[in-house]
Amino acid sequence: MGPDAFLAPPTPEGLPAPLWFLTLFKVIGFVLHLWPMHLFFLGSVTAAVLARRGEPASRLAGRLGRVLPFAVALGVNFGIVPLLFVQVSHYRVFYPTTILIAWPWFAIIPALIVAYYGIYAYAVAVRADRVGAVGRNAIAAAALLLVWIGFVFANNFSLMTNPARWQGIFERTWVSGAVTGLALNLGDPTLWPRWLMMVGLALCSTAAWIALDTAFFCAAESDSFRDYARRTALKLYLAGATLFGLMGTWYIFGALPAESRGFLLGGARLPLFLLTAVSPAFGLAGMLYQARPGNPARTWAVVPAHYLVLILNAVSRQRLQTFELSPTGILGADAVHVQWSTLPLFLVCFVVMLAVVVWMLRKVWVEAGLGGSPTA
Amino acid sequence: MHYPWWYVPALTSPMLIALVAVLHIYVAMYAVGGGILLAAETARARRDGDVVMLDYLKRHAWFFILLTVVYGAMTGVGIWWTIGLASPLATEALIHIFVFGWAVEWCAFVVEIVSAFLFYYYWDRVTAGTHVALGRIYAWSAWLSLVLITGITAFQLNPGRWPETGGFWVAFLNPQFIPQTVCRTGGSILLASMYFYLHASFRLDDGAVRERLVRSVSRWTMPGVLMIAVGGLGWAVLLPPSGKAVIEGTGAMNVFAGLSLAVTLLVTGLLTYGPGRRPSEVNRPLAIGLFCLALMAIGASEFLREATRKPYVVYDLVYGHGVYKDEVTELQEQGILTRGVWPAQYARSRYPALAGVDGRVEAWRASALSSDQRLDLGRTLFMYHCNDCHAVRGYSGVHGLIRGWERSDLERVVHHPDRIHYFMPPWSGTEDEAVLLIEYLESVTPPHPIEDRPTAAPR
Repeated sequence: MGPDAFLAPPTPEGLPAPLWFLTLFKVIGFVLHLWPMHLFFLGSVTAAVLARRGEPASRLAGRLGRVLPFAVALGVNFGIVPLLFVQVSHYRVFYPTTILIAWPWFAIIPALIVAYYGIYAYAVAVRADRVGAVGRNAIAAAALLLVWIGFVFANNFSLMTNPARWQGIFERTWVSGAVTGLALNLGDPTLWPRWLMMVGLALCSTAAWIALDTAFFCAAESDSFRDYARRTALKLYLAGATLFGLMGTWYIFGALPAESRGFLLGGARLPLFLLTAVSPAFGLAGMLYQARPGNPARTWAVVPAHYLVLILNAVSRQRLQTFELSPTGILGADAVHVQWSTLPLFLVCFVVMLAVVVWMLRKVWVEAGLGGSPTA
Repeated sequence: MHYPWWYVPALTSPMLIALVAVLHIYVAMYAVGGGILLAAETARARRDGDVVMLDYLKRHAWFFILLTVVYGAMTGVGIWWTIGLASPLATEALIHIFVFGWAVEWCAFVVEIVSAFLFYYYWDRVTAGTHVALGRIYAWSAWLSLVLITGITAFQLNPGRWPETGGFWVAFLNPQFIPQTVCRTGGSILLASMYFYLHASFRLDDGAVRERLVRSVSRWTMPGVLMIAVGGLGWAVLLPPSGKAVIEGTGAMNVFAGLSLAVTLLVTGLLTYGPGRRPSEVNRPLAIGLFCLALMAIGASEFLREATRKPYVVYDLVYGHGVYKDEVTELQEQGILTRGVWPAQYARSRYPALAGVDGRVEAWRASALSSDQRLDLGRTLFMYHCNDCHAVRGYSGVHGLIRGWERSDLERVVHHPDRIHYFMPPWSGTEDEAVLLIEYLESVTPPHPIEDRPTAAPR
């Protein structure tokens, strides 16, 4: 049976923009989504672990906890963009796989709501300086739910690029040709290393945030706390980078099919692969550079350094995804009817949105006196 | 048929959409109306230097954030999640027609989230002018997201000239767009006022301040009611004929329409003579009662709005059973088990004997199968053709609907569902498939509950 046996016909509406445009915004949205998503994903786990230790670990957990509600709001919000564009360009593989795992996929929403309230419960307790067992359990429960949500996402996106596995799941869960939706893509050899790579990267993002927070928003904290936070951030980044490296090795050399590996390592794509493979080193270098005393401008170093890590990963993932889906022929099969009347409108609104957000943040930054000297 | 059908026993998967949508709308409307009221009341309190009121409004803003940014925003994503699972073809169509509309809504959503956080968390740390501006930015961006999403959902009910002309703007500025936008804006303001009464009755102990707040908020009642009335009237007038027929011709919709109208009138009366005339007497029982009545009216209205689209899920484009209108003839000629992507895969994998020389499934070959196998294939057809609206036992269960029917009754409804009930889609399979479905329905038909009854003499 060919890889296209389960594919719906192309939509009669056609694509509203060229595929490159949709892919570009999918990747831009994914990059925007990554850092806040990583922060609430592994930041909640880090906070849950540190909250059960004494000072200064629990204090650091509290600082993380206070920012998590914003990370969830922004992470979910920015996640809308790639999810929107993936449904435009990859709808023929996206809908079938989400339906095959319908119940876990559907359960993401209530799980996210409960996790978000758990995070708020912890953040409120931190603000009131009353973190007891309830607060610690709330953040622990939220962390568990968020880890599970990440795992379900990894299931769907690994299944999406592997239509050969659809038949097996279909047969295991069918009810007279309909599906129960009670499945996950657990038998896929790429699932675990793929998910754990993301865990490693998320740990790096959490560490990078701690470094930024220590540099910019910790003026009221003691020197010893700032020193502890900086060291913890470095350790976490190193741990995340190590996990990323190990899982990446497993993913590329132990799980990916030979053709996909050949694609990543072949020809002109090799430099991108190598850059992505060693990318956490850039972030780590940014962290070390930031930690050195001296010019306060250095304190920003971790931002471009870590964004470089995220961009390289997002671009590499997109290229691999496109290659993996090439046998299905879904990309490029749709007619393109560019919506010239609305595409520019979106771009204008995008710029206006950025302008309004920057204006609001600037007003608050100035009036609330947030522009103090970095404390690095 | 393009996508696998998600079988949810008893409830049916599309009912999950209704469930998530109603649970979302109760808070989403507050996110819009509450934003408008918060911005207006905060501006008024700042202008008057009303410190006590500002203190209360800050507490209300915290409640507002906790409810709208967490529950409201996540259930909003949840609707999108659920329509993709339970109605993927309609979602595919809407996404491709409106992707940049949704993208613009996302822009509004970003502004909404950022301004909401800044409005609350920097309440006392920015100047009064900036704070008021943040509130207004939130209110406008929230309303803009209402406008944008209403254009899309209104299109589902009446696409206007779009089937002939195509194009985003014809689709977005459909005949239902303005009435629904006006109605939803009014409803949002009215519901938000009831959230204010409810919250104040629990969290605002100072009677004088509460009276001042109720008096101020109640000024929004009449504009809200007027918008609901004008928008609702426009909605009813501009319904497609089948939508009007659904309301007129089905008992359940009679009840929902009556309930929606009666409860809205009751709430209007209570608001006028309660908070409007006697603001000091707004207490917890009244606030809870008003709030529950409002939820009832909104729930009934949403159910009505969904039902009037039948037999379509996107009017004139996608039928409820996940088939493009233009595909029906082809399916009638070639069959669901042949042309439907997932039913064909099932039939081919489970019953290889159905495959013809070219590997395509041919339903006529089912005559060689055992009766259990034929019933299973009939059930496949039920899943893909009927289960979007009917469970076997459960929501709108055929078990109850066809109780006591004879084979000739089943033949009539399977061959011409749209003639039996105009809110059902046309039969979209071949004659051989119709026989399989009839056999399956016959197997689940319970006997007539009244055995001893006079029957019509055969003619």
